[in-house]
Amino acid sequence: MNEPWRYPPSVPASRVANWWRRRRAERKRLAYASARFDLRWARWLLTLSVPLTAANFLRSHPALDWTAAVGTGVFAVLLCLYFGWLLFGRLQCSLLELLVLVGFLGHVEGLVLTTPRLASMSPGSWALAPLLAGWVLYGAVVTLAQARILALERPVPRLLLLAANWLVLATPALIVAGVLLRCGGQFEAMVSPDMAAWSTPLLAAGGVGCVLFVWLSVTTRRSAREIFGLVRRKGHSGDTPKGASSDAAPRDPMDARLCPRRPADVHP
Amino acid sequence: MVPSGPQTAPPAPDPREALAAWYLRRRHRGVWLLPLTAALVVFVGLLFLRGMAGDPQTNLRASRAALLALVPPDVPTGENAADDYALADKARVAYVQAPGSLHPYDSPKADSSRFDNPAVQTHVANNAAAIQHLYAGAAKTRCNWGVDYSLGYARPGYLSQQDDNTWLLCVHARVAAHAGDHKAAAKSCEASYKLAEHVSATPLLYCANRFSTHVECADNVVQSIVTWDTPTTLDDLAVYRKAVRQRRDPQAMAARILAGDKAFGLYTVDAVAAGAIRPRGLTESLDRLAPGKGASLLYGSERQSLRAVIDEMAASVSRGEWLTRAQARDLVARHQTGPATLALEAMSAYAWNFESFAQSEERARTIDAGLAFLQFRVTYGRDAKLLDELVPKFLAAVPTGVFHAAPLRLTVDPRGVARTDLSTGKQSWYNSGTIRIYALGPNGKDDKGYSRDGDDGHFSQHPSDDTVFRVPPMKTSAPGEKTPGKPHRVLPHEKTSAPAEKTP
Repeated sequence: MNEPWRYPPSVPASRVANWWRRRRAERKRLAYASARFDLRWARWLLTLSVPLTAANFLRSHPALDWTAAVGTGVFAVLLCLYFGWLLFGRLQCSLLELLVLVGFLGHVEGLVLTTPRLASMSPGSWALAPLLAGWVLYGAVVTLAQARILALERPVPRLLLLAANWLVLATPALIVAGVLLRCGGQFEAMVSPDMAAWSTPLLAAGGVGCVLFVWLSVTTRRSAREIFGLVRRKGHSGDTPKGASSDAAPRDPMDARLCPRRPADVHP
Repeated sequence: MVPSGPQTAPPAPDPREALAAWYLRRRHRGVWLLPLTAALVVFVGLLFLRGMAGDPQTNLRASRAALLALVPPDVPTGENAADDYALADKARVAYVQAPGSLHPYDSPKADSSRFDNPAVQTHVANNAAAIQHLYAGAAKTRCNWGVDYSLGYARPGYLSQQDDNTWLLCVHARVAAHAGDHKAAAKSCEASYKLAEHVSATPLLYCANRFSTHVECADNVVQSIVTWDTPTTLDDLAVYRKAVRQRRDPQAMAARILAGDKAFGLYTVDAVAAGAIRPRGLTESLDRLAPGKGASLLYGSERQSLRAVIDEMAASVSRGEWLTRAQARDLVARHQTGPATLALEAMSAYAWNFESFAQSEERARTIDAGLAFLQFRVTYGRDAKLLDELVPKFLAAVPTGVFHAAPLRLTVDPRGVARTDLSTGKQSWYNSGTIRIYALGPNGKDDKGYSRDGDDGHFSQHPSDDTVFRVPPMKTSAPGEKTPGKPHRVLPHEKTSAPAEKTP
């Protein structure tokens, strides 16, 4: 009964209990399966360093400044490591995608690193460059994952998907920036009329990002659930994972890269 | 439950399952999105600001040179008025204030009975040496306060001392006029005007602001002397007219202050952003532009907007146009390329102070016309019906206002002048038939000679802003004495506060 990939048997007495037990089993199964792909130590360190970055908003003491700088720096470097490792260690992108990726990363980093007085902003301002690199890599990893899940092979749709994912990841920032400029227009000392006029395009881009996020999430998650066998099919009893047999999945040269065999595959 | 049986292998994994599972399981990534979003917001801000970010070290060299060009030349020891003012400051004896009594410096416009107080008279007598030093300083034309310009925009230390020196001269003028010595009173008034001019020698808005305050204080003293201790000889009136006719020239003053403030302001912004100095006093808000502060990227837009709006304001001043505060805000909005807090604060202060300069000149014209009106009265034993009657014997021409070129006007107010009892706050009216000689003021409307000050009984809540000099009628009345006649008009705020009539 300690096999996480196996659904618990149905209990006729309670539908809610059944739903909860099924959900918990799914979670366990997802965790178990994704462990083969993930870089768990980096994921946990990343999450643990997030609270330290909150010190950026408490700029009242030099010690807090340095805490923010160290926390943000650690987070940024780990973000690059995590997604860089997933991108180059687990996934494989085409040459064209690599070209676009490097070009976009170079533009973003160039804009940041050539900004005058950036270094004098605060001790943590240097962390902006790796953070943006993390954003670019994050978008690339999500794109390759989605392309593989959706079985997208043609280059143009994959490039569009790449751009869409960068936009989707930047959507909260675009909306926040747009709202700040829209509201900041009332504080005429801080926001010039020209800057305030940018709030509409930013909010519009944020809106497009929201739509793309919903669309990509729905389609990709549905496909992922189908691959993972979480979609209920008619006439299935429910005691075993549905469609989760190795025979159902097509073989691919990339499969060994996605899911290397390890001794730990034999579960205790 | 711990499995006790033999180890069992999971179903053979679909390699794409791992990827799908990773994609579906996104809780950690949701948390990472928070700092990533903050970084992207900063990135968006960076895209807006990076185009105007400048190098403070490069700008600092140019702005330091521009500032040092303003440093006044050294003045030989015997010719420097600042030395006499320093001696006066040392010789000045503080007023011993009785408990519950008012300080005479707080009420230079009070009625003359205040200056009968022996404590006030003793104070003036004890400060005779200080007053002589102030006279000696006022007689000199050159004044170098020795301000260290390299410290940037900061309030000069001498200003508060000169405030006290001005109040002392004003109180001395009131005491002397009440004693009938109008020549000594006029001399103190003249010294006050000269001291105000010397205070503004440093081309900073701080100093110009004190200039306006000192000149207004001296103007109020002349008005109070005419109201309470009216000079009755042509000679006395002539010395007052000579004292009031100091050079004020608001346009030149505004141009000088703008040039000085631009040099001081840009140097201070550059030096703070380059980490060369730490801001002091009222400019501490600049500290956010210093290196290591989060807002240091705003330096470029702040500097650019400050320079542009000062240049345009200087151009409008040279054309003789006085910007209102609303127009000053529009000016900032026109030149703003990003955050412009410094420019907005500065423009608001400039507009307010430049209005004060212009009003000061307008006040000088009305006082001069009022004193000429009194000279006419002393000469002919009657009042002039129109200001035209004073031309050409007492006035070369009827003066005009500064804000609007309309000639000064004259009206007789049957209500008189308000007096507020400072201890009880009650108002009483006296001097029915007061003659008001007035200009239209900044709003350009004829408010029948009513100004914003408390002598017209409605303080600042009423929109009247005429610049007025009040000449007492030939037959004066004491405060509290019932004045004949009715007010020539009822002010809006009085309509609401008037008690309702009883109906049978």
